Amino acid sequence: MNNKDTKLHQLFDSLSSIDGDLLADVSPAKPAPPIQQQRWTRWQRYATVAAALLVVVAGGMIWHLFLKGSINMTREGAAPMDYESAAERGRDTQFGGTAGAQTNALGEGSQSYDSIDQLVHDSPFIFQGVLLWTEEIEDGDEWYWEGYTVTQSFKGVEKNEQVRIRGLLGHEKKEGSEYLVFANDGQMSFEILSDKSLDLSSVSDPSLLSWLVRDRFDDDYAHLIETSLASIEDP
Amino acid sequence: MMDDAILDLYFERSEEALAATMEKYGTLLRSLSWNILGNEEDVEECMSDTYMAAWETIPPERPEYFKAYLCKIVRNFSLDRVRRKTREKRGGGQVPLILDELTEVLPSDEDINRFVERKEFSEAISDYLRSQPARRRKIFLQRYYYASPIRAIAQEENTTEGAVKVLLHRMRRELKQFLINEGYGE
Repeated sequence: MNNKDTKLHQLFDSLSSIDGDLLADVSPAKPAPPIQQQRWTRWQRYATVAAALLVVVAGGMIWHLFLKGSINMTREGAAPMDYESAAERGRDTQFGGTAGAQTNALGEGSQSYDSIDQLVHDSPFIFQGVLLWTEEIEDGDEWYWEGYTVTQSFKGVEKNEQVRIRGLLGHEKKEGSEYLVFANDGQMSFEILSDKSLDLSSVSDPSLLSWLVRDRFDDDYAHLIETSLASIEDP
Repeated sequence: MMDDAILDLYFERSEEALAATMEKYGTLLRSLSWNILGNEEDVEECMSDTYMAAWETIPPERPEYFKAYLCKIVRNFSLDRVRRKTREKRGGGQVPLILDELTEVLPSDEDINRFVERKEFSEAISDYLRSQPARRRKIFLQRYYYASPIRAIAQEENTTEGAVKVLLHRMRRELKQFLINEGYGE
């Protein structure tokens, strides 16, 4: 454990010794963790696996016998629909519509992502862009506007489009720098460094990728983003 | 049963003291330990250690705030266990996320030695929390004392996770400024 980690633990520990009266009317947030539900017996585990296998086999048989060839269900048919509805949520529901070429998305993390692929799939707007300006939002509480010019589009926007999204005050980005932006109900932006590598430290809410081992981002994760972006159909 | 009555049982060395403690505070203590450890076996051991510690220290101790006394014991046992079990990583349950968040509060390295004076530091944090409205204080303690997941806090407050994160972010910034004013950090 390095010095900073040690001090963080001490800081966390020191909360144990706060004045007792402060805790009098405060308890852990409910619902309490369902500890009892974690205690699965071996037969329950086997039964669950067996039931899941049964469903898969039965589903496969039904598909094979009755549906194969009668339904043309392609990924191309399904995916854009998802993206369109996500985009509508971003534009209309959250902000009551946008003007012209501007694109809006909510600010910070309302969900977390289980994988890089999920981040790419769940983001209706993905682009590489230069941050041109920032501006405080009137009555925006903790938010501010970020204005980008799209230099490369991956999803949901056009190249050279002017895009405006919200960022969290306290995590302001650098005007003139280039970012890879994933915008959904939440926003996640990686600064693109001069050597074209991605900088994880520019992500204002790393807890959205809570499974990610930060020290290994450059070696183990950054290339997954590139791979996943390359897999997007019809960018 | 009132805390005073339970403490009387401890002083009488009656084993009913433990049963009463478990009945009144068992769920809360288990929840706190679970949030930190995220592992049932470890939680069970921490619970046993906590009841044992309470039995061995009362008397002579007679805590003014019994709930806080028990929480402090189980919290410390849980944090010790996290560190012991995962020395190379940074803990289990909510701990890694919370440590990341608390980075914002940490003063610069030059001033870090003052953290060793933990009691004084705890008092400073208490002063900050005492200055806060009840709702803010509750959310802060649920996150950083009880290590509750943000999702659970948001659900209980009937608000979004984003709103809770924003509030906690604001409070961390305020706390850091408060600590600087108190002589910690730059």
